[in-house]
Amino acid sequence: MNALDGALRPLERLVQRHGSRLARVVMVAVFAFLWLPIGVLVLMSFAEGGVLSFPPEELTLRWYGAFLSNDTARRAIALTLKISTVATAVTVALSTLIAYAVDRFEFPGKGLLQLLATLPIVVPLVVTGVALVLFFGTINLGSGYWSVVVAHVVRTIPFATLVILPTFLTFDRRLEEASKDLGADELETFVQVTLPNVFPGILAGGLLAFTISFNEFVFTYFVKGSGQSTLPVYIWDQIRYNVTPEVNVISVVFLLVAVSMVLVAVSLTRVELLARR
Amino acid sequence: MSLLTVSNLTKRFGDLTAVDGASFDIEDGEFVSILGPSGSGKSTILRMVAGFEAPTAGSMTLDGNSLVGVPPFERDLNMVFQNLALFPHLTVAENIGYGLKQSGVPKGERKDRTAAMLEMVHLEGYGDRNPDELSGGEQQRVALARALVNEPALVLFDEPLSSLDRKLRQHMQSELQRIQAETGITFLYVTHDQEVALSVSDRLIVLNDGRIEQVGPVEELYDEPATAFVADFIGDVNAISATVVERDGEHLTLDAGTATNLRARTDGRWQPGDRIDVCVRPHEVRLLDAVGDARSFATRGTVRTRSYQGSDIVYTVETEWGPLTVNARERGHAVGDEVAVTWDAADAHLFPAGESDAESESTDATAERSASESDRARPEGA
Repeated sequence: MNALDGALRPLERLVQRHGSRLARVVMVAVFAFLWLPIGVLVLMSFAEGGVLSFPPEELTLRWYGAFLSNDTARRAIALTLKISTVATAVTVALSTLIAYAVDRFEFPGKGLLQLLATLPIVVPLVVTGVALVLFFGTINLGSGYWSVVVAHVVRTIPFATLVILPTFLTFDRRLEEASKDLGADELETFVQVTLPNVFPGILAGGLLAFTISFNEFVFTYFVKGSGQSTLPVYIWDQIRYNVTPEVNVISVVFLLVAVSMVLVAVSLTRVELLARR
Repeated sequence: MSLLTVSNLTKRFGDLTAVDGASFDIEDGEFVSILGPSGSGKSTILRMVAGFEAPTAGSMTLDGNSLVGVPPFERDLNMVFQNLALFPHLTVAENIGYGLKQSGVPKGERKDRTAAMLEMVHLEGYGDRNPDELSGGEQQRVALARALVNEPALVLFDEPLSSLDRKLRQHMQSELQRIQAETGITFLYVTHDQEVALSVSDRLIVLNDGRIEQVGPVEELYDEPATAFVADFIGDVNAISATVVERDGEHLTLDAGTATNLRARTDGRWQPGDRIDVCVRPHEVRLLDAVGDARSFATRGTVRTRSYQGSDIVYTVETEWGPLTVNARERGHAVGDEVAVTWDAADAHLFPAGESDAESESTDATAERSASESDRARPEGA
């Protein structure tokens, strides 16, 4: 014990003296690890000489042009949007109802509902993917557009619920009482007070669901029909045969969509408001 | 006819009876407070009057019309909530104008009346701000303006001032009185804070454990409390348990199980053998240098604590009757001094023993409160 103490003491002194500097170094290292590959990828999407020369000798927009004039890629984007919009709408509706029920009502199985809505996050994607294929086979839905939509709803509900539920839980119901006290009936109160206060959370949940759906690969790959490719599946097909700078371009497109969505979502959840309560 | 008549109002939540047969009237233009400890059911009464809880039994009428079954948005009254419940997504002006908007007041008139309200609560120029940009006191004013703008017959207050510091609270109290005088609207104010209730109200309704203990003007409740609970709750009190030994006309001799007997003068119908609680206000207890004056009674004690409270000194004196809290002007006594204490036999309030569970603890609680050098004002000094 004493020997251990003795060995640790210099370390402790080091932490005491240089702790915040050390922490800053570690933080920089972690963020470099996270973002450098992405930075390189963005840079390489402008590389004239293809993927093999780093650093690129010349910058160009050629690959963006190639990507946009590629019919298959454009079809993939259109399909992805078609799937994500519908899946997001369904997810938002269901998650909002779940959040409303959990917040407002006491009923048997309330805890279970909350658990079932959010726990699928921990189930391995491949497991659920296989299960979805078997399930769709059993009910004769087969593979295709609607299977993918349902799969995306399954994938996004837990995330949307996790975002939407807190806005309901933190919504002060006395605001509704105040509204009724001041002469607004139930419907007027819902439209003028409840909705404006929970809407940012619902919107944020929807944006998160959309981003996840837009990026979704595993479930899609399991249940999609042959010949259907969403954008992630398209990338996968590309890199299976050859790595072209076009893949980098698609990655940048993804990055832009995802980052902007998440930023909007975070700003709308009013994190600072939740912290104040 | 009274503006608000509440009779036999009862509310049960499962096995719990929150309000038990409460009856009271409020006249037009009055400022009435419902005073009681937390959990006494005062907020439940308010919520029933406002329409957020349905009574289990009993009736309420506002201006002669029954309130039972009427939804909150059809009642001619408005409420200032404990947490104020200002709409965070609306500006100050929109918050105040909300009630007018619901009743279909045209935009131009709405703007004028909102501006008039802002002026009344001294918040000119704050209309375009968001509520969370305002200080606690300013938010109180907005909530008040929002409740007044519809010119309701009655405004309810659910302890809105409890979150403010003492200085600001006192200021808001006088503001409330000013605004009530200006508007003539009837105020019903719920609080657990006797200081607030005593300073602002015309009449008090004291509530304990869901039941009304006493209703009356503030002075009446203070000078002639109907129960030991009221005596203890409205102002502080020293309570001593004793048994009547002898009765001679109005004069009672009481045995507190100690060497010295107490005396009391009362027109109550006490008989020898009755067990009673003797309650004495801290400012009615007198400190003497020596036990003398055979006509009265006194006992010796030791000063245990001494705390400075502005114009008064609050002493705790350890006596054979237990620790007594004494508010006195004499500053000459130090901790550890031997003193004698007495009071005028007519000043003691007598109540049947064990009527309230509170009074056996109250002596201790009072002693503790003055022992800790609290800066709270004692209402009897005010």
